[in-house]
Parts: sequence; structure tokens; C-alpha cells
Amino acid sequence: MKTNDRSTWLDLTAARYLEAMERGDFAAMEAIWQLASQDAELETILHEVHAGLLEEQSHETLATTTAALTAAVEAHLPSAEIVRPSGEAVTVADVANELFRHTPDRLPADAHVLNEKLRTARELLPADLGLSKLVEWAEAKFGPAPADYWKVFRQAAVKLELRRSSEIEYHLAARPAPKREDKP
Amino acid sequence: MHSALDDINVLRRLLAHAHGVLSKCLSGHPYTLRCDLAQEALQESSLRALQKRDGFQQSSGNVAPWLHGIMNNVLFEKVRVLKALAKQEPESSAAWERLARDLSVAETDRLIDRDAVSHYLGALSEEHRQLLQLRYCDGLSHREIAARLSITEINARVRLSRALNAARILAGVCPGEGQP
Repeated sequence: MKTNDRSTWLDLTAARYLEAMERGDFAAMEAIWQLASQDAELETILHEVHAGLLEEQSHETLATTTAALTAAVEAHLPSAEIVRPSGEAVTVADVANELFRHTPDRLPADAHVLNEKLRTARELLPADLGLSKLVEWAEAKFGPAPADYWKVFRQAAVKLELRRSSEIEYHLAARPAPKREDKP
Repeated sequence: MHSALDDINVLRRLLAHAHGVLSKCLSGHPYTLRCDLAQEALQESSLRALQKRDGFQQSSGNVAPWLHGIMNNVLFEKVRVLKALAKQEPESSAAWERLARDLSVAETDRLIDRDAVSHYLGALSEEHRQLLQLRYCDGLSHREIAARLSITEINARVRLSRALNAARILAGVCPGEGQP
């Protein structure tokens, strides 16, 4: 058998095995395991199929559990904030939504109107979050707003940026550390 | 035999086997039940392997596939208790053989492969078509396919297997072939 034919045969046998699993055809699975008893490469591939299914299963379970929990929190705890861990950059909409959930006192009515508009703005925040630069950038993009609004907007933006940075640091710290070599 | 059953990697693989089969055959049952059944199947397989150890001959091959054969039987019994299994139609081996022939031609002679393989590629979903093209037209390994699609290597293996199954069904319904 040529190398190409051999790899095609292995691919097809793995596909037959997966199909047998999906049909619940235990006789076909048994026959393939008998082939694997004489073929170490095929055996490895069958283990890969199991591992691949397990990986899919764990993703599905995680997604189902997350969706159920999120739906329950949204339905029964409307004032709760669902923090979704992500390494994605903070957008204007993220900040406006944060202000919507935690609205400061004494904001003028036109600030509320602008904030509502910004809840759909997908623009990323500028790198410089200094107040004057931020106001200049934001008013050029979204129009004027009361100075008090931009102050609280900046505070919320800094809070979200800090949260995002700490998440990234946490994930970096959570990586498995390389094993130290034994000292003599 | 004893050393195989003491090997944590062998046991993990047997457990993965049980989870894989149960997730497919008992997909409508709760996840926790499937986990319990997988653990039970592992214990039962180990017990049966010890009982049948005299029947295993080293010359007949590696011990791990033999253990997976036992696991297969244990799972069959467990699934049969929980779910009435329909009588299985024999495998459509003609379709598999035709697909093997066409794919082998595709690799060895790229001038001939167009007509044989374009039949499958044209009728497959976008995802399946892309996988078969990467593997059999571009000649990529599973690792390279995984890197290209930003997925794991084992996931690439499973997805390619599904794409081949879809192509096998098309091979079976091709005019002039007996299997549906």
C-alpha cells in the first residue's frame, strides 16, 4: 500500500468508526477494534476520535450550562451584572451599558439621552483616557454632552479597562509554570 | 494484563471510549447519568478483562485494543438496557470502497481526480468541502488543517471523519451504485 493510500485508509477507517458510534453499531466498532489490535497507528487514531468527541462534548456542556445560568440570572436577578470574561477591547457601548446599570446621581436629561444612544456604539475606546483627550475624541464622534457626563463616562471607562487588564493578567498567571530543573 | 489495567493512560482512554459512545448512543439522557454509566462500564470492563485474562494471547496483538473490545461489549449491554436498539442494517461497504478508490486516485493522480471528487465536493456543505479540499487536494496533515482552521488536531480528525461520512453517503447514492 502506498503511503497516500495508507493515510486515506486510516482516515476512512476513523470515519467508519465514528459513523458506527453514531449509529450505535457495536458490531462494526468491534470489527474495527480487532483491526486495531494489529495496527498501532489505527489504535492511536481511534483514541483521537474518542478524545475529539470528548472535547466536543465538554464544549457543548459548558455552553449549555452557561446559557442556562445566564438566562436564570437575567430572568430572576435583573439588577445583577453578568461579567463575561473576555480579552476583547472595551467599546463605547460597554462603557455606556456600565453607566446604564450603575447610573450616577444628578445627571442631566440630555446626558441620559446621549448614553442611550451610545449603548449601541461599537467603536473602541481611544488609547488615551485622559479627560480632555477623551472629551475631544468623544464629542468629535458623538456630539456634545454635559461635562459631568464625560467625567462619569471616563471613570466607567477606566474601571472597565482595569477589569480587562486584570483578567488578562489572571489568565497569564493561571498558565502552568514550566517545571524547574532539579538543582544538584 | 495487570500492568495495563494499572496504567492510568489506558484507563483514561477506556473512559474516553465509554464517554464517546454513550454521548452518541444516549444523547437524550442526562449528562450525569452518562458519566455514572461510563464509570460503571470502566469498572465492569476491568473486571471482565481479569476474568478473561487466560483467553488473551500475546500473539494475537496488543492488549489495549483487546480491552477496548471488552469495553465495547459492556457498553453495548448498557445501551441496550436503556434504549431499544434498532436492528442495524449492514454497513454500506460498497460506498466506502468507492470513496476510498476515488480519494486514492485524487492523491496519486491529480489530473484524474477532478471528475471523481468534484461530484462529492459540489454537493457537500461548505465546511465539509473545505475539509476534504484541504486534506485530499492540498495534501495537508491533520495538524496543518487544525492550524489553518484554528481548531485542535483531534477536532480536525473528528470533523474530517464527518466530512468523509457525508461524502460516503453521496458515493452510496451515486447512479449505478447499489447502496442508498
